[in-house]
Amino acid sequence: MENPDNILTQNAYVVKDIQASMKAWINDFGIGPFFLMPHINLKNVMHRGIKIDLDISAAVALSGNVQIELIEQHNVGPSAYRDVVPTGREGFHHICLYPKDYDAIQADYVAKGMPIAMEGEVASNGTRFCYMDATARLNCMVELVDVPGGGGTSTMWGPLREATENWDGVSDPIRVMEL
Amino acid sequence: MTGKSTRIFQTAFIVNDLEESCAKWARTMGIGPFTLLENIDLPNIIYRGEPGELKLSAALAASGDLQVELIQPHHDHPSVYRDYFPTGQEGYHHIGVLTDDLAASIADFAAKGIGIVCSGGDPEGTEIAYMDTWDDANCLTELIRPAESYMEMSRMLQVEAENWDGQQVTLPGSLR
Repeated sequence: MENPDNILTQNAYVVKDIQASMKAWINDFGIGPFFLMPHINLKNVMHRGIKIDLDISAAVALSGNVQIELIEQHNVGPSAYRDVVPTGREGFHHICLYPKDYDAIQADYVAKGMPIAMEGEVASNGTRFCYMDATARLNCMVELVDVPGGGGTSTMWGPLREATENWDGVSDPIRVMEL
Repeated sequence: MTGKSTRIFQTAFIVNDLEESCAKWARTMGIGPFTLLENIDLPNIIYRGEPGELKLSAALAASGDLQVELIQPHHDHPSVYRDYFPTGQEGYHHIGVLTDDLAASIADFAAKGIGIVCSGGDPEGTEIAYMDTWDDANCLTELIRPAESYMEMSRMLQVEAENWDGQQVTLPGSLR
């Protein structure tokens, strides 16, 4: 799928209890199934230039072409999530782009005055991600994702799309995906 | 909506200065152009069970299948906007969902214990209801039963976005 640099693909929320939030989204909106990635193995995570340990679980589901992402931070400590949503609170956190040229777009954001709040990699597959601090402009952060080998959302989320299209609204509403 | 996945159509933010926010979204995200609907006074507003008033300006732009809506409320009194963002505050407010049967969609939510914060329409027959999904989803859900004019405008937004050269950030629009 052609994926221009300015097409929004995601609404992401920081939540307190990812299990409860997934169930609420499934119940209220019929959105599912969720792919739950528990305690994602991340590496080289830097928050505002300082290396941090970060323990998060994330879950994604599709609503049409829009991905709903829920993130729970398990550890106590600073992160791009806590920059926006303090411990014990919940809220909208970011929109997401899969730019064709990750490094160039990242540099462009920095040049426009939106610094890197946090960046890192998914240890198992080398996917790079960063959160650009656009909060003063857009009231949220902008996540940039670089999937190895290109292909963006279609490479990374093909199985999710397939599962969504085939979902009966009942079976296995939450599916674990180890990352 | 029963048994079927909800298709999110719109992501909406409350802002303080509409033109400034349009410019920020255009410059930061390359999203635009924004069609401006200025000084709207929506008729038939029912706010928490009582007749109400909802005055606003809004700006709409397409990003792929998603519509970005920026709303500048023109009032300080309690409302579906100000209850969540008091005057001077900005933030993410709702997701928008299209329905062809507003009453049935409202009933679906009601059966799940989710009530209406505010309902109303526009002069051309589009009807809306803001459902209180905040505790569950960290935002409200706007149900939209669109008149043909609303869908026409939504299609225009996509055409304008595809043809946009990035120069003119806002275009004048109207609800007629």
